[in-house]
Amino acid sequence: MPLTITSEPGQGFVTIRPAGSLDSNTYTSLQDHIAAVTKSKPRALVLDLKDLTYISSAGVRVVIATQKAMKAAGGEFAMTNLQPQIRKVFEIIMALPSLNVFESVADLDRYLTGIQKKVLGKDQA
Amino acid sequence: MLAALVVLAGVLLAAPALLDAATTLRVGTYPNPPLIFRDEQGRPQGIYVDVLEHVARQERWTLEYVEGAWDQGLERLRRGEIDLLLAIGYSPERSRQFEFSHELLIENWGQVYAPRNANIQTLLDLTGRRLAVVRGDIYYAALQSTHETLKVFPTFVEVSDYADTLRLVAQGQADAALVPRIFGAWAGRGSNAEKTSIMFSPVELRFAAPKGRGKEVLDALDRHLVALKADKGSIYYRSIRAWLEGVRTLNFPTWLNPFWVAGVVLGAGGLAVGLNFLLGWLVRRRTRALRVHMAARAKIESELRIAREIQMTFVPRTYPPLPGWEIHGDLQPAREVGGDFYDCFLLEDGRLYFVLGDVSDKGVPAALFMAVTKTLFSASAATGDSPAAIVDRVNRRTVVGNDQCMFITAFCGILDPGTGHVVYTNAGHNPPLALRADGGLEVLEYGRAPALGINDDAHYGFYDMILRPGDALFMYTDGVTEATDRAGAFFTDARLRAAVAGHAGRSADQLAAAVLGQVAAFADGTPPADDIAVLVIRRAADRLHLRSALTEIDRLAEEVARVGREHALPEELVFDLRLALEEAVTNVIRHGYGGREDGEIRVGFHVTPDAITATVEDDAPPFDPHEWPAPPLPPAGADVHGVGVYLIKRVMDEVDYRQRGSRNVLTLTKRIVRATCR
Repeated sequence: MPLTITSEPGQGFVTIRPAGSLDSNTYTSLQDHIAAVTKSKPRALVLDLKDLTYISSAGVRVVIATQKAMKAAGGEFAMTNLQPQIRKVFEIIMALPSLNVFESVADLDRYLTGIQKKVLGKDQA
Repeated sequence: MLAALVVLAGVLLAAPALLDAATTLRVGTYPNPPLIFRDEQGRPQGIYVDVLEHVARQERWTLEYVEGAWDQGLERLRRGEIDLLLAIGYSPERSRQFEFSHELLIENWGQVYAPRNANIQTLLDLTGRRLAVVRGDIYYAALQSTHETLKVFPTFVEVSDYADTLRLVAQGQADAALVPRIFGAWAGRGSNAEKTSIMFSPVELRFAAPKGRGKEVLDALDRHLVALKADKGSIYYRSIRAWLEGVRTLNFPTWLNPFWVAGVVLGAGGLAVGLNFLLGWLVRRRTRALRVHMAARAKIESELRIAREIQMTFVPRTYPPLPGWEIHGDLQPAREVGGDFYDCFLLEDGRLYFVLGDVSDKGVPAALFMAVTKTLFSASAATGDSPAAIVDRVNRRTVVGNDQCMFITAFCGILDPGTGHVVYTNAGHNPPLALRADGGLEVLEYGRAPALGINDDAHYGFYDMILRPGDALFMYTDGVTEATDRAGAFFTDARLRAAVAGHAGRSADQLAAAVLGQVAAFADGTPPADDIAVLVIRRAADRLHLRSALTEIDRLAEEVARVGREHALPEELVFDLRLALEEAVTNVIRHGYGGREDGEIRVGFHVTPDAITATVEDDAPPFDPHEWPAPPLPPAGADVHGVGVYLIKRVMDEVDYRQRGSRNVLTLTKRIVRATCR
């Protein structure tokens, strides 16, 4: 089961969309992709899991590791569009409380707008 | 020319008699009808009397009969109180005590008679039984001298004449009687005892005189006997024929009727003598064989064991390597060797040929016929034709020259291992059972055609079936269903079906062992009456062989998806199953094999209507996932491999780990909850 990854740079943040299966065979490609993206030190990183059909603990580790890395770098991390089966895996591991998870695109947009304002404010300052 | 010789012989024979016309012979007789005995009027009768009186008339002897028991007659002869003893068996030992005539008058042998219900059929059966015998009897002596070797230990009950032996049996004071076969044929029919197959010690019955005396008399008897035997119409043949045909009218023998004599004696006399010699030969051979057999019992038993070993090599004990398939056969001959067989091998096109059959007999003959049949089958199968064509060819070959009229029932088939498609032909055999993965049982009753070896016009068709993952084809011979318990009840089809149905999901060898174990438990030590053979061909439950590399996770995911589609499993269940298996397999790869990529991981599935069970097997060092600690809460615990195990336990209903030999076997079970459609 392949994993295809697209990323969409936005104003001060990057949205990464892994599509397919995030498992112990594919997690390294997401890990590598995220490592490349974070080199540009985005203010925020958003994982849009709209097209992610499967995730195992290997995938969950990548997510948690990314969140830790962003936090350590003083950035923000968020996830959105978790499919029920994906959410279930996170829930089992009780990983969700520590993560910024947005139920809807509207919630995410408000969050991202806030980040944009912060970014713009900084730039203007 | 011949006539001249006979005349000359007659003159020469007559000469000494003329010189000594006043010879009086005291002749010892004893009760041994129909060779010699006294009739109700006290007159001597029998074959010996007929012959002796004929010679006496020619030789002008005067005969004086001295009646007594057999041992008395023998003693009188020893003391010289009589000149001649009739119907005495020749033995080298006796020839040192007496003078014997040389010409054989008749051949006799020891024959045991016993009531039908006494269950005495072989020498061995005599051990511990009461055997009535006549004192001084040559057969009694023979049995005494050899019973140590033969390992036969009867209790001997001695009487003085043959009729008494049968009387004792009739009165229940003896279990069996040892009598001369001629006496037995004559008197046995009037008693409750029947001829058994125990016969031994053929002896030539001759005339005997006291040691150092009576040479002229014995020579005269020999000369006359030669002449009498040369003439098919002589008193010798007429007498034998008449007495041995069981003439009971002692005072007026039927053979005196001239038409009877002319018509029957001439025609059948030669035959009787011929049969007599043939019987004599058979008995000699049998006695010899018995002695050899008994003395070498241990040797023969070991040879039978070897024969069994050889027979066991006729049936495969290792099976063709067929990934995704399990094959197991078992053969248990009822005797040391038997007529059941099975076989299987891969054809050139990769399909699997198999056959299981039963020859209509047991023991060595069946084993030989079985060997031939199995060879015919394999030669025929190698052509790659349909099972019907194979069976048809074997049938036609088996009908030809089948003098023993043995027949074979067989179930023959060819399996395409890629699809599980089986074509089969059933030649009069018990219908095999198809055990489905979900525990369902089908009896393959279709297309039962005649057994092989009976009719070369028999038509054989073929039928087909599909073996899906987890399905097993159970073939067996009637020794299974006809195994008996201590009370004599059969195992029956019903018990067999229950036994097979109870073992769905077991591998082929486990299924065979479980069923045969139940049969053995049922028999409870009762010796099998028939051979037992089973052959099980099972399509392994879905099974995947993975290398210990993370790249193999894709194949695992595909297989789970396939199983899900095949069994129409709910999507959520497929997801959970995939998740649990990925976690399990990943743990084996990372921690079990420690990154080595040449390890193997086998994943199997077993689906029933209620649950799906997946097994993960590997050969890595023992690795019990239960021993991994429960994961600390993330994110701190995110890097701990215990997370995978935790996930597995959460998404599956049952998780079981055990070590089987050098393998780790993890079994994951999830109940199937299907959405109701109506």
